[in-house]
Parts: sequence; C-alpha cells; structure tokens
Amino acid sequence: MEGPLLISYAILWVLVIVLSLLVFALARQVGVLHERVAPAGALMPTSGPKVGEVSNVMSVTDLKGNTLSIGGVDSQGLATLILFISPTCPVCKSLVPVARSLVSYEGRRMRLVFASDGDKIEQHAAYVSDLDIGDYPYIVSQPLGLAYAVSKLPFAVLIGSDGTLKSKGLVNTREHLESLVESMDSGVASLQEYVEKHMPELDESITERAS
Amino acid sequence: MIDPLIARVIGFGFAVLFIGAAWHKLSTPERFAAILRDYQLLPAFLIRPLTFLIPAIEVTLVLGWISGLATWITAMTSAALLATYALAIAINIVRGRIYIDCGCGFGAAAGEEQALSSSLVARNILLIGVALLSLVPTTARGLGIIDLIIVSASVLIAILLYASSEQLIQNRAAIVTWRGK
Repeated sequence: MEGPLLISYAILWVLVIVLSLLVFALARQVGVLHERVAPAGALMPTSGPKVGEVSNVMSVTDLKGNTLSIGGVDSQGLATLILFISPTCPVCKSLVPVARSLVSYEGRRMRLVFASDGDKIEQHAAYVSDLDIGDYPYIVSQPLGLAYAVSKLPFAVLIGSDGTLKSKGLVNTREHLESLVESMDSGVASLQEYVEKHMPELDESITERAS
Repeated sequence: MIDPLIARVIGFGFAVLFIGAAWHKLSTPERFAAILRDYQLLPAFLIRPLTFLIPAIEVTLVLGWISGLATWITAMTSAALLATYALAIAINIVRGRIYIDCGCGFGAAAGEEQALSSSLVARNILLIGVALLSLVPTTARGLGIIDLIIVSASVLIAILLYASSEQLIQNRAAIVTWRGK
C-alpha cells in the first residue's frame, strides 16, 4: 500500500477520530441541555419513591451531632418537610427564609429539616450560620438524597406523620412549597392527577393540544 | 484466528474501561456503598467488604488486560463481572426499581446519576461478547510501529464512541422521565 492509497488511509483515520469527537461532543451537549433546562414549575419527578409509599426509616446525624430518624411513624405526630439545599445553589438561598416562614405558620403539625450533601463540613457550617438556620436540623448525607432520588435543587420532600410520602418536588417559589402542603391536605398528588380524575374531557383536550 | 492487533485493541479498551469503573468506585466509596444497598440484592454485612472488593477485582482486570498475560482468566472474569452487573440491573428493572442509580457511569458521565434501562443490559451483553472475542487464538505476527499507532487510534475511537453511547443512554432516560411515563 503506497502513494495515494496510503495518504487516503491516513486521512480516513483522522476523519474517523474527528467524527467520533464530534459525536461525543454532540451527545454531551444534549446531556448538558437536559440538566440546564430546569423546569419552572413545581415539577414532581417520576423517579424515586412514589407519593403514598411508606418511606423507609433512615437514621441520620445532623451537623450538631444529634441523631434523627427520617421516615417512619413520627412519635410527636408531626409531618416532616425535608428541604434539600446546597451552598452552591443560588435559588436555595432565597427559598430558605420562605421555608422557615411556611413551617412557622404550620408549626403545630410540621417540622423542618434541611439536607445537603458534600464533604466540606466547614462550608456547610458557614452556610448554616450565614442563613441563620442553626435552630433547624441540618443533615449532610448523600444516602438521604439518593433515597429520595433528589436530582435538582432546591428539592422538597414532605413525609406525613404516619410515615408515608405525602408529596415531593422541585421547588423554586413559595407557591411550589405551599403546593406540597396543599397536596398533602387534599390527597391529590398533582394538578395533572386532579384533572385526570375529575375532568377527563378537559384532560383529553389538553393532551390533544399538547401533541 | 484473529490478528493480534485486534486482541490488543480489545485488551487496552477493557483496561481503560475498568480503570474508569474502579476510579469511579474508589473515589466515592460512600456513594458506591449507597448504590450497592439500593440494588437490594445483598445482605447488609456484605456491602462494606464488597465496596472495596469489587474495585479491587476491576484493578486486577486492568493489569490483566494491559499485560496480556493469563488472557483466559482475565476475559472470563471480565465477562462474569459484566454478566453480574447485567443481571443485577435486569432484576431491578423487573422489580420496577428503575429509578435507582445505576452506578455504572464511566468517564465524563460518571459523576451523574443514571437510571436503569434495558439499554444498559444490552450494552453489557455486547461488552461480554467483545471480551469473549479476545479468547479466539491470534495469528503469530510481530507488531510494528504502524500497528502501535493503529492500536492507539482505535482505542481512542472506542473510548469516544463508548462515552457517546453512554451519554445517549443517559439522555434517553432523561427524556423518558420528562414525558412522565
């Protein structure tokens, strides 16, 4: 093999490598788009434990070293609102005061727990003092996030006093957080479910328009 | 009979694959332990030792593939390991627990969660096929400089295409959750 054939062979190798790079870059970009295009609504992901399921009891330790159990029947009859946040998430900062105000309003039947993950404990400690949430348990635990399939922050999980998962979702605003409490009280997991159950003809027309 | 060039490409390809897999597990043992637990296949007392035993097996396989010694044992162990993963994934798909993290990410996608899907089982079966292909006896042929270049280029392309397909499987899983079914 020599002359033009050898050259074309070399060129083909280069082209194949470049094309593979391009394919990989394209696939990666699509993946990044999926991560970036965060939904604006209180999106309830289909992944993770389902609403109505009995949550597994998990024993976790908060930043102060107190042991808490998450899930299962609560001895004081309180529901638990877990808000997953992170020092690196800008929206979380604005949502923390909202969660505090909501829980102080609902304080007789609900307790608030913050959760995060990562290994820089001092960063979390600074974050807690920065947001002035030292009064609430702050858990740093990766297994907890994995258990509820938390993929986007800020994410809230509401567990009823009987230990069942009442509602969950990506929360960006006060309305979203309140919708979780509303869904616990009404027993309807989401607006979609309500429409499906009570207004089937409306549901059909929406589906038609959407498709 | 296959050309020794092909055997080398397979060998180095698997070496890179298992380096990625072992690194991913050893760098975040806590996460790997949580993933093992999530599969709900093993008794609790086995989780801790396996968190380190599985990456150790993978590192041994890396050495086996690079050295080209004991090809038979290396290939069979790789195939068995991949088959175990495929079986674990398949069992959890049948159970309907597709939302658990696969823990089988590699390279660029390793840090992210990946839901279970049947494409992952298919991927592993394909990999088992490739691993077993290396058991076919090779023709006796000395490898020169040009072969070395071809091996490196082929391994590079194999890595890129593997990472792309991994990413595409992950994208598909993301799209499936968006549709809500």
